[in-house]
Amino acid sequence: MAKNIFKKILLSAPAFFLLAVVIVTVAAPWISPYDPDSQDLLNRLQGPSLAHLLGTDSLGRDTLSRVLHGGQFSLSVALITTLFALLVGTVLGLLSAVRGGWLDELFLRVNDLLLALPEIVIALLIIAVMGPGFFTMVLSVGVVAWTPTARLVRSMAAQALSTHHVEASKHVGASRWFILRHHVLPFVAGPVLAQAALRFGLLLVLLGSLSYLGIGVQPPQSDWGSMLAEAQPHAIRSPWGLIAPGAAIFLVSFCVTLLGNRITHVLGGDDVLATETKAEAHD
Amino acid sequence: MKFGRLSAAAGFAAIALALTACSSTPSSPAPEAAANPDARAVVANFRAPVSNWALESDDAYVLSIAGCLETLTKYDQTTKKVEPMLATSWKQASDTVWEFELRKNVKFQDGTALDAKAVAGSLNRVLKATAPARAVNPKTISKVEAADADTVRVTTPAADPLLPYRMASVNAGVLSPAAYTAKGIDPMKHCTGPFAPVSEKAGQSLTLDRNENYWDGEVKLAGGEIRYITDGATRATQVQTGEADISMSIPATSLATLEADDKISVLKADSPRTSTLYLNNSRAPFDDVNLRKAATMAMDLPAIAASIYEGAAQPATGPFAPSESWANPELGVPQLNIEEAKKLVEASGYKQQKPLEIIAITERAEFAGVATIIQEQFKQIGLTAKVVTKSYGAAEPDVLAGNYDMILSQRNRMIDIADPIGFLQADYTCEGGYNLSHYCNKDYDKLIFQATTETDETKRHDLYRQAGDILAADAANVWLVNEQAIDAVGNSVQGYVQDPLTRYVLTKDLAKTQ
Amino acid sequence: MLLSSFAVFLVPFVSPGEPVRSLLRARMDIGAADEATVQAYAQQFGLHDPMLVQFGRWLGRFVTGDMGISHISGTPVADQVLPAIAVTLSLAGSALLVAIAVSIVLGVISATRAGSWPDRLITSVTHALIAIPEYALAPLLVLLFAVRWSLLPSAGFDSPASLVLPVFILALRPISFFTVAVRSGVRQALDSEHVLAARARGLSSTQALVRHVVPHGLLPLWTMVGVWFAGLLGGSVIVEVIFAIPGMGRLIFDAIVDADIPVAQGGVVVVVACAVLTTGIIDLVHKLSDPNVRIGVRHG
Repeated sequence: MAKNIFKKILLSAPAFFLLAVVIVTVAAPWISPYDPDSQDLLNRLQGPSLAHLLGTDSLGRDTLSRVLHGGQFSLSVALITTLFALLVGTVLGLLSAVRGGWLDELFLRVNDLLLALPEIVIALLIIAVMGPGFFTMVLSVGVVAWTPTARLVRSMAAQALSTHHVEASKHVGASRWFILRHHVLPFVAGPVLAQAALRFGLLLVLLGSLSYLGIGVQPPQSDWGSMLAEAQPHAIRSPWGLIAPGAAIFLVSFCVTLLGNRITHVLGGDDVLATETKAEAHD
Repeated sequence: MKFGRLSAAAGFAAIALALTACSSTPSSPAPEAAANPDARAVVANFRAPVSNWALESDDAYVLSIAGCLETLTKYDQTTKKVEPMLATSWKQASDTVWEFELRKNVKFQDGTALDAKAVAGSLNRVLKATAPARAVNPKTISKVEAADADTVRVTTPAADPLLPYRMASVNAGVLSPAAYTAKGIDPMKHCTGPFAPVSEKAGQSLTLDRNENYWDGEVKLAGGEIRYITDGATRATQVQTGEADISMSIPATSLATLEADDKISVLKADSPRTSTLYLNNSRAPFDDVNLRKAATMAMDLPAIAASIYEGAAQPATGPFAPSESWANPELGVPQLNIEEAKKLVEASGYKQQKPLEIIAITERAEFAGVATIIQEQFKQIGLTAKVVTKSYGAAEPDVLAGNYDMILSQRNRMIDIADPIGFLQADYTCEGGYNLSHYCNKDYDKLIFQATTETDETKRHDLYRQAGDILAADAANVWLVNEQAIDAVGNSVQGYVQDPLTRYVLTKDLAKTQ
Repeated sequence: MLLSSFAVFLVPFVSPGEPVRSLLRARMDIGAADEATVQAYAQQFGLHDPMLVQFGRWLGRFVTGDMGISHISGTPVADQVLPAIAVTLSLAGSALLVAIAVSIVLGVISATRAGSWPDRLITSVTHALIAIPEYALAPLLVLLFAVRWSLLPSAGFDSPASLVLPVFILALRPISFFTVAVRSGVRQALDSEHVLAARARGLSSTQALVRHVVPHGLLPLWTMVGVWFAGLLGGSVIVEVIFAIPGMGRLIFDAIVDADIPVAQGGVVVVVACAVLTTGIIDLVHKLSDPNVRIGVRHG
């Protein structure tokens, strides 16, 4: 049964596409046609050609090689942030559901506050204090990113805890840990994973926007967002510099969302976007 | 087809460059069609007012560009001299006292007459500001008073041959007494210029109407609008779409696109800014003049000018732009010489322990690219460097404290007054308040001190030239490229004269067809 | 609100660089401010006092409705924050109206024809919309609509035309989430006993749809509108930067970059207040029209 579910999720076009993206990104140092930093000032802002499949940027660097290398940064920050959100969100959501009382109350207050403050403003504040960088990016976005997961976990865990199975287990004297592991986690895992996929897509776009504003990744490092910012002034002459990293962000984010959606579908749930809705409607 | 258009644009750029090299003040084409007296011009300006129009702040530039704020004197780009404006004449009554005779029958836009009391009132407010202006402050001017109704007496703490230049600075602008309200400065209809501000959309734009009673004759446009558009690419787009008639300070990145557009003329002039790789002269390795020279030799300046600056900058020959009258015309662009530079590095005995840091400030987007080029060049002469990008504010404390290797920055040599004395003092004298490179040479200091009291302009400029030669001989910094001021103007605009000091845009002679 | 304003307050105390110099730079470009000037300027705004004294002073004034004075312009913060929030409210409001209208149409179509090709198409589109990086799409749209075809202004905030592109870009992500909410809401309403009863009474399917299904199916939407409204208030930084719109997002962004703390504080507090207010109102509306009470549809 479980095997079947995995098959259904993984044997799909978005999954294959993502796998390809991951392989290509990890292998970027070996398969890129050029060194992403090597400049060729005589061949600047070229359109696509056989020598440069996606053209060159304003310093004559190969756009394809830069997209491949930029992906390492973009995808790893987004992945780490997503894992961070998943972990923190699940732990806090479970705690809040299991312990209840003042902890739950505090949880709701903090959630409300973070919900009211726009993500990008919070990120801005943290970056202003800590200066830009890889770790700051993770932290500045991670601070808020855990809340939807936590809300979803909390509401689903509460639902799970109120079932007859759990009541029965309690009577038999099962430990809290046992109940969590056998009744709550399996129930929560699917939707939470699906939501994490959605979150990854949203975070990829958000993190890119920080780099686009110039407060994310700092040169000489680059990611897809900073490539977009660099390409924008030249867009009229060479729209490829804009289209390539933009499409990369879009396609990865899109496919991850589709994958998340597949997870919810296979589990008999609704649209993956509804996992965020549901969490909000329950509060 | 695509490539054809590109190469045509490149060719055009080369021609335009050659043209600007010989003409001193570029202006838009001579009028052919008749001007429309009801037309209004939209200017996309790079600066947004942020200080509630305080005249000691850069907000005053916005009022000057708008054709509202005027000063007693005016620096004329073509004659390179200080000319009369609200004052018709001035004389030095003693070493430290100057008297300015005001123009008769000048009225503020609110109808009140311009008199010595109003002028003294405006200037004294600027002198009292907590954050004083650069050119007009208690260190340069000790007292301003009305000697009689039409005479303003200005006293300086020491003899200052540059006072007439200071009175042309934007911070010495004159507003009607009614402009100074309890809530701050209200510029609406309170200037003397050809255009009167009538309304402002906060953070967006200032709208102006023609001043029907302008003292200097008929104003051709019915009015204008100054839009605050801080993003350079957006300014370029706005003039291309026709939303703006004049876009100021076009970034180099947009230059080729605009030059390929036949609905627009692109004007260029030497700006008083030189992009510079500041070297920390106070610690190793760049306390060694030979290593500083090696750094200069390692640079391919024409390549930097042509690539990152897209031809919107000229390779620098030294600390001054060649068009400035105090520049040494014999200085040429330093030649790329990797071999010689390598030898200098080896001969110096400098052993590199960790990579040198190049700070690229984020305020100038192109510096990140420049820094990566410099990094590559340094590699060739056996020095490893790494690039760090920071906001200028984050870098400044370390740089002023002498705690850095190299920083890419640029400074305006003639900020506020059309004479480089303030810059030469602050940036290169031993005690200079803004000596980023921590450069110190007693001979240089002596020349600059001499220049501060030299009344004869030719002699003064000669002293500047000698001082500049010392800087070049000491290779104090690596002067990379002289930036160009670039304005883009729609074809319906007539009579626009580009001002590289960005003081005058909406003028009485500006007009539009249709 | 207090917590967030205190967080803003901390920024200049812990960030690198000297905040007073950055204030002066905002007034006068990159330039030399001597030490005396820096001291005098700091004195004027009491920036040398201990952190908590400064925060206490700000708080004391704030509770009386005084948001303080901008350290850059010297004018009341309210004079900057209020016009900016008005701009952002209209921007976010228009974007949400567009999103609501579009998502109701898409959501109802896809709910009433679940599984058909229009439903699948709409679902794909909604998933695609949230994946679009607006900072890539916006410059491309400007390139096409403003530069190439001269149909719309490239930037600014003066005419209805200048709103088209920013509102469109801002509406994309809400459209996705709203459409999904409408679809699931309407589907549940379709299955409810109430609607079955109405159909049994002889109402045509269209009548039933318009009278019963849609109104009740939209209930989950309204909760989301509140949340999104809050999010868009400060979340439109990117769009405001690209289109040179003098709204709240850009105001806060610039204020933090220039270390103009009173403005950043005032901005954040106002954004949070608006957000709390809207979610509160939506909550109230939601409670008053609780579907459990009125039609017995279980939501969630």
